[in-house]
Amino acid sequence: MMMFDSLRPPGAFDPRAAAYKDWLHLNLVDHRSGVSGLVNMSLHGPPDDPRSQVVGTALVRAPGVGWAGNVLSRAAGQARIGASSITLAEVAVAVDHTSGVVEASARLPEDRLALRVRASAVAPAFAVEQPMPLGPGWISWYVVPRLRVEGSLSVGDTELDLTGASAYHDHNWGRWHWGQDLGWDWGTFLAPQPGPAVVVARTTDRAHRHVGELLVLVDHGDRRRSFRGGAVTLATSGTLDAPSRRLPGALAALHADRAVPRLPATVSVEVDDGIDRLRLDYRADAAAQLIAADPLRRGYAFIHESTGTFRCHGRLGGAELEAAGLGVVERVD
Amino acid sequence: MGRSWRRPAWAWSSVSTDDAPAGLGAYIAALVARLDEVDEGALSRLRSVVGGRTARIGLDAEAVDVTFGDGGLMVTPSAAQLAVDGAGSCDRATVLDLLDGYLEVSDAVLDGRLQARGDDQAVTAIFQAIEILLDAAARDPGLRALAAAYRSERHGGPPRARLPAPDASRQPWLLSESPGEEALLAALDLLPDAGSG
Repeated sequence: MMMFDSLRPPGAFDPRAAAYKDWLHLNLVDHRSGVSGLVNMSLHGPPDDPRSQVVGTALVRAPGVGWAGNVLSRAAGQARIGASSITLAEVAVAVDHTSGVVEASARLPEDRLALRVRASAVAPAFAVEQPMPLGPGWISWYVVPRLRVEGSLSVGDTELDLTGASAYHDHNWGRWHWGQDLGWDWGTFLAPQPGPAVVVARTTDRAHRHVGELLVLVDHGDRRRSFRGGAVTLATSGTLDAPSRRLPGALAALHADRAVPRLPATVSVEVDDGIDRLRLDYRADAAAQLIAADPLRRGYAFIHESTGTFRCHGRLGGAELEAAGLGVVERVD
Repeated sequence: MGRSWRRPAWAWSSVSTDDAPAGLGAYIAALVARLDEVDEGALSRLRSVVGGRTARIGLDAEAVDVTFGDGGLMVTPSAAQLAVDGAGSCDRATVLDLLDGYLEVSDAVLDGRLQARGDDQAVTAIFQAIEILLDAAARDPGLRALAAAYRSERHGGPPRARLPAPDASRQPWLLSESPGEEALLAALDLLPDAGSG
């Protein structure tokens, strides 16, 4: 169900190698407990530069516990990097495209988090190999909208069996420097199976005043639809008023002016191409801010992850659809 | 006057914590030496911000006096009889909570966990110096390794005595903007993407 994919380090004569970025990402939502989480392993800067970084992120939001986990920033040389795996001792993500499996693990005892997850693709992959403009650079994208989860999670004093949870996986790569005039909006919305998985994405400028074409992917059973351009609208309203975990702490201390990010409380997505239609309403209940520092030149970006719930209804492939679930919305500026 | 540190004997580019600096003074000296090695511009800004001032830096029961002289950085064990321009102090738990993202700097100051004393220029200089180090560390694995070494239990002192509180019980001092401010920004079309797109 997965297509072959791998990390995309720059070639020897790549003039934009200094702007290299690459990551493997997994989102988890456990419908029974309401837990949402992410594990992300990212590479920043060319492999042969000692300043290049590997950043490992394992962060889980659990009702009654809050955000557990942390962001680890290390010299890239400290990671074990495979064709489609990035591993630190504490956090790791590995993808086996042959079997369609993403494995993720995190051991952060001081941050009250341990998890081990094996996620198997249950929806076909979707690849945007053609680079999309992102500020002065570009980004490419490979996404698996839904995976079935086996594994366990320990967060705070709570142990969870994640059987029955849903996951989302993507691999992004490209050339840009954090701090440049770029941003994006992205969201994944997962109803319990056999409900739908919805993915929303668009690139933007840093202020989110100039936005690229919005892409909406809907996977429901054996039906997949993608919507773009005039068939899609996205609206936000309100301001999320919730304490935000900001990581890494050293960069949060450096950017105290960003301690109260302005994030939308609700996001609504509507698609209608004349044949299929869907309306999705998401309400955020918590947020975290991940601060990305460019390793080669002075610049920072702010990656905001909100978690929340959604409801959607519409008609897809001739069948009525109505569902609810958990979502994660990301806003980068 | 006691022991003083100028440049550490170790080249701090690896990540090993086996030869981590011993004590607050050695840490400060190692941070500034590494800055000199990897980012001369940042060190120049640091010296410009600090000027001829002397700061007393305290961490738990340890305190050192820090100043830049003709020979470079001078770090000496704190001498109570020596007048200083500014002073900053906190404890290990506060440092770890800041490094791990469980505490905002503003909350640390307002809660009394991070203390800074001196006239406004001296206090500002202390915080600017810290910001210069944090900014440089974002691009230098060696500076981050020093923080990791401090964080390690073997060399940095006792482990954190308590786990941070769930964020639901933490209310930051800085709250969201007021509705009036929100309305004003909206009226001036200064909100990022309040509408649809």
